[in-house]
Amino acid sequence: MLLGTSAAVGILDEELRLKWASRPYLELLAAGGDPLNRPLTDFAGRGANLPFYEAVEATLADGVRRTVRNYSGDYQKVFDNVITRSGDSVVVEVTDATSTVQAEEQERLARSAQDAITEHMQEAVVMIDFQQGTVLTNQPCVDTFGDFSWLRDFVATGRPLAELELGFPIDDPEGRLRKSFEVGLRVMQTGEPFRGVLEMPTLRGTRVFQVVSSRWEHDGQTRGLIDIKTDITDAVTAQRELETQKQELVSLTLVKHFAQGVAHDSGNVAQVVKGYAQLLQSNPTPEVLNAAVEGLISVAQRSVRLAHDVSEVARIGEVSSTPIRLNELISLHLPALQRTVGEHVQVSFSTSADPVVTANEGQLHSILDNLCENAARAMNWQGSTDICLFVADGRAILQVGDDGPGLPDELSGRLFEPFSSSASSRAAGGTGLGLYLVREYLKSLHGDVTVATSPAGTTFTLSIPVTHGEDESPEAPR
Amino acid sequence: MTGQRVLLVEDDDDLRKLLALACDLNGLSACLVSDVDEALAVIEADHVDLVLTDLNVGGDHDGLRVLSAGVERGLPVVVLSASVSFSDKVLYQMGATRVVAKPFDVLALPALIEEVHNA
Repeated sequence: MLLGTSAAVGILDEELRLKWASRPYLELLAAGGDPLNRPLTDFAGRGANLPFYEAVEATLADGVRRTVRNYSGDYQKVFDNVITRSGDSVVVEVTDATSTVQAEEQERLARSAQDAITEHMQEAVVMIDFQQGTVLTNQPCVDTFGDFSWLRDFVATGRPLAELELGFPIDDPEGRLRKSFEVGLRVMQTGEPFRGVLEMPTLRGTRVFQVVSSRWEHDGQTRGLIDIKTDITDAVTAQRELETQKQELVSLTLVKHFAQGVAHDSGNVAQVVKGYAQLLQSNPTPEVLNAAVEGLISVAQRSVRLAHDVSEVARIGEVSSTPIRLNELISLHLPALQRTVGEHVQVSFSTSADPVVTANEGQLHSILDNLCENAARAMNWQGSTDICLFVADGRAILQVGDDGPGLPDELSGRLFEPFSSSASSRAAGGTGLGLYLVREYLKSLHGDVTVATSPAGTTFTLSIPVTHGEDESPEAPR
Repeated sequence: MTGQRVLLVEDDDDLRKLLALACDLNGLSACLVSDVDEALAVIEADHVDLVLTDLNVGGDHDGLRVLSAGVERGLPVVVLSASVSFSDKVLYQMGATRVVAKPFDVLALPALIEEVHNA
């Protein structure tokens, strides 16, 4: 009956030795080693097959049919055995269960991986397993992005990830989910892990995530992709609110400082006007009259300049900008600058470039006026000031230097704050807003200004993004 | 009264010229300086009997340094203030003899100095 069978069948005697075997049985033996025809004692130290031999002995004794699993000698194969008694022999029908057991093991591993990410992680986790054609997601991920059934269906087809059409159940007008997915695609292609912050629409509105995406390597092979997203929206929102509050505080402090500066200056002007009026009233002499006229004209001019600079502060960022050739603008403005600094200060201009910047002509004039006047004042209106223009790293660099005695240490740190200059420099023509205006003008042009000072002189360096330049030589002129 | 040696600290050139003229017309012997360090040196050298100082000197409230130095020397100190950031109370707590808000009466300077000196 058994001779014609295609099943893997072996017959063992009461000593548990193989008496007969079908061809498939012999093939199994050849493929995976002999799991059966070995003395019981062989397995004494490796108890994996002991239950099989115990079952054979039990069936031999009581005639009850048993089903038991055992392993090949090298443990590479797993067999399911159905054991029956036939007279004083035992018939063992063997089925190779290796692939079934492996699949069960994979499933068990996958389940335990899923359990692990579900139970222990608040992060939204997606594990795409291209080897198994499966997609594992945890609850935070499902709650945030949906169940990914569309991705599961796609991965099951075994097609390349690049062919994937996104099926997020979320409105994504700005394509940010696609961008996030392209990150994963790049990670798969290059093997370079990605770590960064992405803002994405989710089922719970737009959220911000810290994203870690890396290739899933297993036994030296690419198995898939692991993507972990940590929702950091609350932290980011708190940080942004803090920044806003900080900014508001800075603005408020600046406004207070500004108001105090204007109030102080106005108070001094009022004091001078009232003082001369009183002196004239009590001493109407030519000497007092001359002093009063001179003093009143001086404070009147100061007030006009202050009013002008305050209104300039109010206009920052509100003026129109056009492309301007800096070289030409400075050259044409040189006579006006010379008049500003007076006959005892020599203004010179050198350039190695002809950059074009997008700015307001009047504001650029004001910047030059302020810096040259500042330089002349630092030199007590006697000496030379050099303007130098060149291009470096796509920016127009403008330097205004003087050979004055340098700035006092206590002033250089807050030079660009409003009303930081001494009142004597204000009385000598400054309003206390000049360098503040220079910095604010440059900020509005996405530029900046720095200062370097020493006992040999002071140099202000301005940097403005170039719109276009005929000669963008990076070399500074000598 | 004209014997009083008055130190006047004011860094606003226009205002200092006015005060110089006012002192001159009123027969006051005044040493006018624009710089805090210069003022401290004058106080240190014991060259004055009375100090009048602007609060906001040098773009900052450096007049407070002059106030402290004068108080330390036992000198009467008058603070001239156009500032909204310091209350008179704080300045008095720091030892100011008088706090005078700008604009003040320049004709009343001699009387003010007399009063403060006798305080």
